[in-house]
Amino acid sequence: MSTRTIPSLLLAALVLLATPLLASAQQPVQGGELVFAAAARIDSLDPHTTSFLATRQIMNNIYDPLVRQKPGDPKIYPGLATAWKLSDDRRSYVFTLRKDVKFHDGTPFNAAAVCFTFDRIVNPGTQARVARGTIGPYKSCDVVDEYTAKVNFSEPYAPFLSLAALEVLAPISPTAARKYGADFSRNPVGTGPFMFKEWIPQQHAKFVRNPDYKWGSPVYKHQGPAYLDGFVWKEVPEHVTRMGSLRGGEAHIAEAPPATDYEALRRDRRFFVTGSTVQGAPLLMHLNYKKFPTSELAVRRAMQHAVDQDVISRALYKGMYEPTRDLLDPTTFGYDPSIKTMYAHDPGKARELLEAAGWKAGADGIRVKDGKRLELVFMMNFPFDAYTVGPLLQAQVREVGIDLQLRKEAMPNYLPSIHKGLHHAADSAWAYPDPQCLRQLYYAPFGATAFNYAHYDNPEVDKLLDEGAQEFDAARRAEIYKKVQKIVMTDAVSVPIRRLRGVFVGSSKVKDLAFSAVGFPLFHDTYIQK
Amino acid sequence: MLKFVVLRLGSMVPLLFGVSVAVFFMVHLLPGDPVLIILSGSDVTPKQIEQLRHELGLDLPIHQQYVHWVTKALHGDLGRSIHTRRPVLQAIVEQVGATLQLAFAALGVAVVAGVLIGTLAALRHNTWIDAASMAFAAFGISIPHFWLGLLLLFVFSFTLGWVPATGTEGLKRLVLPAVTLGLMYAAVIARLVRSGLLEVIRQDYIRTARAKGLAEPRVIFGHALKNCLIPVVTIVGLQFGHAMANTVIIETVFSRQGIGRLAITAILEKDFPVTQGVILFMSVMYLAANMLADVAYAYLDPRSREP
Repeated sequence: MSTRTIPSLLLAALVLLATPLLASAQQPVQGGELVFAAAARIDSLDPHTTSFLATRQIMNNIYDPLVRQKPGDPKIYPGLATAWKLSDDRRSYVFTLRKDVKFHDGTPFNAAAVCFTFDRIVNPGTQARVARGTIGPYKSCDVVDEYTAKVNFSEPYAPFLSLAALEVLAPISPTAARKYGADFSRNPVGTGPFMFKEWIPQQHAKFVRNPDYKWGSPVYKHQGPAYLDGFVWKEVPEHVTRMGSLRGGEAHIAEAPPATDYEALRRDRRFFVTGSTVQGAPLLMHLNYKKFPTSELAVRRAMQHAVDQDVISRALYKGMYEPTRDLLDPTTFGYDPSIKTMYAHDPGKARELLEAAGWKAGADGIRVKDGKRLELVFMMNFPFDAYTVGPLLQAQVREVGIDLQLRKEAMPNYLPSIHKGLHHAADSAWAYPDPQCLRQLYYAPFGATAFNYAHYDNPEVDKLLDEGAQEFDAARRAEIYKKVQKIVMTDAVSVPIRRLRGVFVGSSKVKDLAFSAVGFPLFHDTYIQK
Repeated sequence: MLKFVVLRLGSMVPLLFGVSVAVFFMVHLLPGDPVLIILSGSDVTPKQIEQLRHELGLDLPIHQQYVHWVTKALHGDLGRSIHTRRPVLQAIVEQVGATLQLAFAALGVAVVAGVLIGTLAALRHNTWIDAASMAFAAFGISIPHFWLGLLLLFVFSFTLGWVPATGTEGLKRLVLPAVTLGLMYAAVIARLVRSGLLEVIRQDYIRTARAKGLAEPRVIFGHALKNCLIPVVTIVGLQFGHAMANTVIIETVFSRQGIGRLAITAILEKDFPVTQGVILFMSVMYLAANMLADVAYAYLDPRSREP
């Protein structure tokens, strides 16, 4: 025995001795009702008609998608389907389904239910929104046999498997959907570990454990029924009350703490603070590629160097949201880590670039070229945090002689104004489990009438995005999207601001809170320590 | 009296028209776009965006949108929420009970506390009790609701744990919101009662009542107070409308159900049919409460019926 093995043996003995202790400390506790204090209200409990990210957070607990993904892991895991196969013409997926699954209403889950679900999503009468956008070029669905479904697309649709892991495409009970019609949104029936009990608008929604559940996906720690008796999704819009109800013991978990509380909560041992990662595009400020003066590459690059994301993260978000210089969240498939070093915060460099492009400092510090002031209109979008970021960005770019004017646009005019190109800058973020979201932001054929706020128009990027949507080889597909990020960043089209993140504060008694690939809480493994 | 009521009702028609115009256009001036909220985070084609704008009626000229909206509103159809797709009227009906409960409870707190404090201050005129009462009134009028609400929550829910902080069910959950909202109105009523009573107790008929040998409580509550409560009735009527509007803040702070919160979430979510519906509904409530106050005043004081 060498001398090196002795410490290892000692260590092993220690681990063995400690194991029963660890095991007893981590034995899941059965029972209890978890109270989740939510910031936003519920719009619909129908996964196909909801359009709120806030509501989608609940869905994974009442519905099971066909496949699953883990945060930051591009691998596809089984869900209600145990196996899947791409057809030779790459236009169909054949899903082999579990045979032991029942909906909450007792009806069996089978291929007919899968086909019913997908047909319902594309049926205009359903008025599906996010789900309709997610299912892409869906054409039809064939029931091959009781437990085999074949999903057909009109063109190859490479992102489909990772999208099928989203709750918005999860199968619902055809019997319940036919029975309730549009009211299915208030009488949801899925196959998930929790079943719907009641929903009182602006108060709470209650869910109870599904005692028959035994088909938990391998992404969970256990496959049987959930440990909790149920959970209450309580609407507490005011953040002081929300955090107070957590501190006072009325809630076990509260989401979205104010940034000012973040540090204190992290240091408080009675609570844990956890953040979920969100795949997709971070908060970005897009610069209008077609409108002077942001049509000038020098101006766009100067913007990149002028903005200091670190200061925004520290001063405004108190570290709760990380600064970013990426176009995709690092947890997203096809993320290119090299682009974040392309532009550093460097006001001197920004001034140099503008100077070289003929922009000379005017009397008030704002630069002028050919009698035109360097004024940019930033059309801010309310749902995100542009209202707070705006003034800080304004101050930062002013340092290099750019006058960023903050503009709020009236409701019916917002998108049309952006489509008409009345702006120089506009912000958006796109939570999405696939780099396909880059198509929403930079694809010229969608151009002026979609979410391509930058009015970006680069045939090379369009071609790559077309290829990416139809490329099934993971390595080649990742390369395509890396190229897209590189080109877009070389053109300096979007200034990254901060990463997206779901922030949750919980009582330290709550254990094993997990998250889906796009950052939604999963309660199946969760338990409350006595 | 009937003529008065009919005239008063008639005067509401142009008011309502004005309200409907203001409500409709105000909402459309809100920044942001509902389409964005609805489709954010999905993979959509331009056609789907266009289709949604059409579905929401956002592609029509604004005056045409107004005519559609008013015509339907007159038939009791306030449209459907763009997010929940439920009829707006149904959502209002579902939520209005909790708001009315809160408004009435708050006014109850206001009237009881206000009359008591005002009477006490008048009877102990120029003593420390008077000064303390009026200091309380100044405090009640100037303190912001949301701050008072959070303060009460902090003390009675988070620290002492006497009452739950959130929710609507049960009287226990009504106490703090009603006190928070009622305090401001109590302050106004207290000042009104104090000055009214101070004036009345110097009147001849009070001296006569005392001279007859009536007991002091009888003099104050039977004769003096009765006469200075008339302006209080008008004020309570006005306050009712005001209270309905102020529930926006209270319902949010205390996570209560109610149309105030329905309005605020609708505004934040750009759910314009709900925003319009709730504001219109609140305006009608406000006008109706004012009218009832006027009628009650006219009933109590016949002099005011003269045009």
